[in-house]
Amino acid sequence: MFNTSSELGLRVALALGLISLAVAAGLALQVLAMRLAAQRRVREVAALASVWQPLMARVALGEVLPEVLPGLARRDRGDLMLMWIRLQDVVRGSAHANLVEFAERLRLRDDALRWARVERTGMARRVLGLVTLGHLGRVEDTALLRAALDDPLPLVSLSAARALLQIDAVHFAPIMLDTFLARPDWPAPRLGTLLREAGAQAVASPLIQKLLAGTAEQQQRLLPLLRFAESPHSGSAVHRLVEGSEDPQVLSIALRQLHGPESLERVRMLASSPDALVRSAAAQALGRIGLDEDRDRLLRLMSDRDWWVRYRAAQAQLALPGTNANAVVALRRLITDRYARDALDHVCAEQALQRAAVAQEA
Amino acid sequence: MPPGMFDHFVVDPVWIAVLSWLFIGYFAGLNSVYIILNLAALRMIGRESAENRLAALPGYSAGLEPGISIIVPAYNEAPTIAAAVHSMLQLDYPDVEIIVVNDGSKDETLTVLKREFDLQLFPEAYRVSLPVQPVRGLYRSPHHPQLRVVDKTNGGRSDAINAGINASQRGLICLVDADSLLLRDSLRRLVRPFMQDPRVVACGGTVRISNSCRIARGYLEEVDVPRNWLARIQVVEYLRGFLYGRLGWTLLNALPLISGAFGLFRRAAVVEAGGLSVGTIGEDMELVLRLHRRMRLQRRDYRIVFVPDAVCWTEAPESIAVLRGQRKRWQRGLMESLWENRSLFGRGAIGALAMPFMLVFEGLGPVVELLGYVVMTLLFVTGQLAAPSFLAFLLMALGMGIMLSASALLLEEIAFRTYPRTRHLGQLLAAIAVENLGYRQLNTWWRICGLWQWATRRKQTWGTMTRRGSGSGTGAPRLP
Repeated sequence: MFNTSSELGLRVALALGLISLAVAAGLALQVLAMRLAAQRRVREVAALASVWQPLMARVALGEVLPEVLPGLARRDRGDLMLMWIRLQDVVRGSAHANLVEFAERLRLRDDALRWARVERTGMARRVLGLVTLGHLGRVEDTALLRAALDDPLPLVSLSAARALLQIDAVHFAPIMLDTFLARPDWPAPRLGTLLREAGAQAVASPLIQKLLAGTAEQQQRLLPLLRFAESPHSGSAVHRLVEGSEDPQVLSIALRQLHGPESLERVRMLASSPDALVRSAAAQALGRIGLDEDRDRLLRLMSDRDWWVRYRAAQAQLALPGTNANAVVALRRLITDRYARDALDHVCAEQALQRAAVAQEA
Repeated sequence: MPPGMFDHFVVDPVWIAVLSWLFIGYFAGLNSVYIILNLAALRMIGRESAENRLAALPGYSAGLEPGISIIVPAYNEAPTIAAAVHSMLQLDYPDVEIIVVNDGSKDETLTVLKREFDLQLFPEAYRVSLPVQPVRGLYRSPHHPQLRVVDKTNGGRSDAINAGINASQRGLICLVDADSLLLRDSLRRLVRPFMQDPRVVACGGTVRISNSCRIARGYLEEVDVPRNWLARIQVVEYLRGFLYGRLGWTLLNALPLISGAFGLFRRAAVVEAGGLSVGTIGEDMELVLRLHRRMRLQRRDYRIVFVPDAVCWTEAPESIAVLRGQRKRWQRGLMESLWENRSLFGRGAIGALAMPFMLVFEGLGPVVELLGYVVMTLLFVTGQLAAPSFLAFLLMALGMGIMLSASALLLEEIAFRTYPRTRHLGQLLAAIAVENLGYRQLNTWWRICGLWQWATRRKQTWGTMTRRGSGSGTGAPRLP
């Protein structure tokens, strides 16, 4: 009935079927074994937390660590470290110092150093190690942390960045900004959180320096971070960028951060920029720093071909000093362009809705 | 069987050998690709697992996250729309707007929305970036400034999404089905690739099945395995489709599909590409392939990625009739998308690997599979194939299917452990076995029907779904 070829086919089919089923059975057993192990681990961690978390809380509040500590298995040290980090992230001042002492006593730094150093230890442990070193705050660990800064995984390198800023924010803030510019995989919101933790005093000066000296591409990335570096000089840095830059992206971001009247003439000029992004940001800025004489300029922008320019210009009209209900009615009568009228109606309705929401809440 | 019915069905032994090797080749080829994707996914999932563990560490939020417009097309969604919007209003994300598009529903969808959120007609200056059916009105809620509702003439799901894109005011658009249920941190997870890589133009999340889960007012309170067997088997299908199917292709930047139930796109890229195709039934896949095609033709460096830990839950069909309709639509959508973007074949990993795979194994595969079952059964019935041979082929087909599903469950266990109880694992393992004994063959048949409909160009409509209206998410996500 069969020639040799189909006999061979039969054998291949049989072998594939049997091997697949055997592998499937093995996988099913592995899944079950993993689940049982995970459940056991959850129970162990709960038991660990029930002993160590109250102890850590008492130590943070200033209680002296007992001479004899509860037993701590090697496999539990990572989970204990995670509990310690969570607590460290919410305490300040003496509680922080007390917890550092607690970690020293338990030799958590030894584990942290070992895990932070070895790439094959796995990302989770490596990050735990790096974050712990940051909280411990020892200057002698900075070489190791700086090496981790170059790790290709953003989570690892950002954890190292956080640790370095915790140890010496003034010294490492410029390095973090350079690294940020070199690494497009570092999200601005993440670095922003770290800079906020580090404090404006440490960040402002290097950030403004790099901002003013940077290329347009670098300025685009750095400008949003300026909110974490509020200083007497940040306003003037924005002013200088608005006055000096020709890059539409930079201008649009800088215009959104402009508050002082120094650049009013330049903003008025930018309101007729060929780039819609710039016109829209300029209109927005005029709403903050413009004068009554800017109404006509904004009226023209309300008939712009770009939706966002019309919308921002209408918002700015209502934000100009001296704008009241009568002025809006008069303005609406003046408008002959349909798109401008739509934009004004849109913005008026938006504001009415906001007022209604506030009134209801009150 | 009447005697002599198959007397004339005599096949030359040479042809039997050829057919045998064709079927062996098909199954071995299909499963080899899946095994490779599986191994690639295993590598990526290890990292995901570590990141999940580290989610316990303090989060990062600086208010610099890119703004997101969630677009929710709704057609006859009255029983579930309020719960869905409530769940979206609770999302933990700093800059998000929710745009519900009522696509000319014939039920009370708009009335429910107006009542539940105190909507007021709003004189919005509606921006038209994409051509859509006429918009009848735009509504806003004084209590939820981030919620907007677009009421428009019926034009189909794609048209509704395009209307939502027109109304959107953020740089990223998240496409979500009206019956999708997002977790509080879903957006934070889904947006991560956009923050880490400026080349990313689109990314998709995982869709999971919410049947039998406890859900109250848009909140997922307790995860459970569906009691209905059809839905339970679909849980396994989704694990397979999402965990290694998509993770594996992501590694090659060849992800061919982002589920319409939960996907995030750069607005500018979608508008530039012309929005969702109104004439296509598989609009989600077609859009992703079109983005690939445009980016490749323009020689732009881009990424389309999958984020396995960004999760959205949706209800799967529990009746044969609804499931059949869904699978036919998916198959038509697949073929339409491949055909519309045929010029992408051969370009990059997507055109050289993913698309041929989709065409041969997903598109035309059901024909080979059904042919295998029918021919082998006929040969066996007519005595031209010995029982051991017949059983060997069955064993091969079923064994490989079971193995791949089991490996998907392993990935799930390594990375997420979504189903918390041990009995859930038992139920899913049972579903893996049952899936291959009837369900898979039925699915193959429906897919062939879908293929036929595509070939004969039947008209497309919105998919219909029996709603439970229990406050849980209901619906039919696209192609897992």
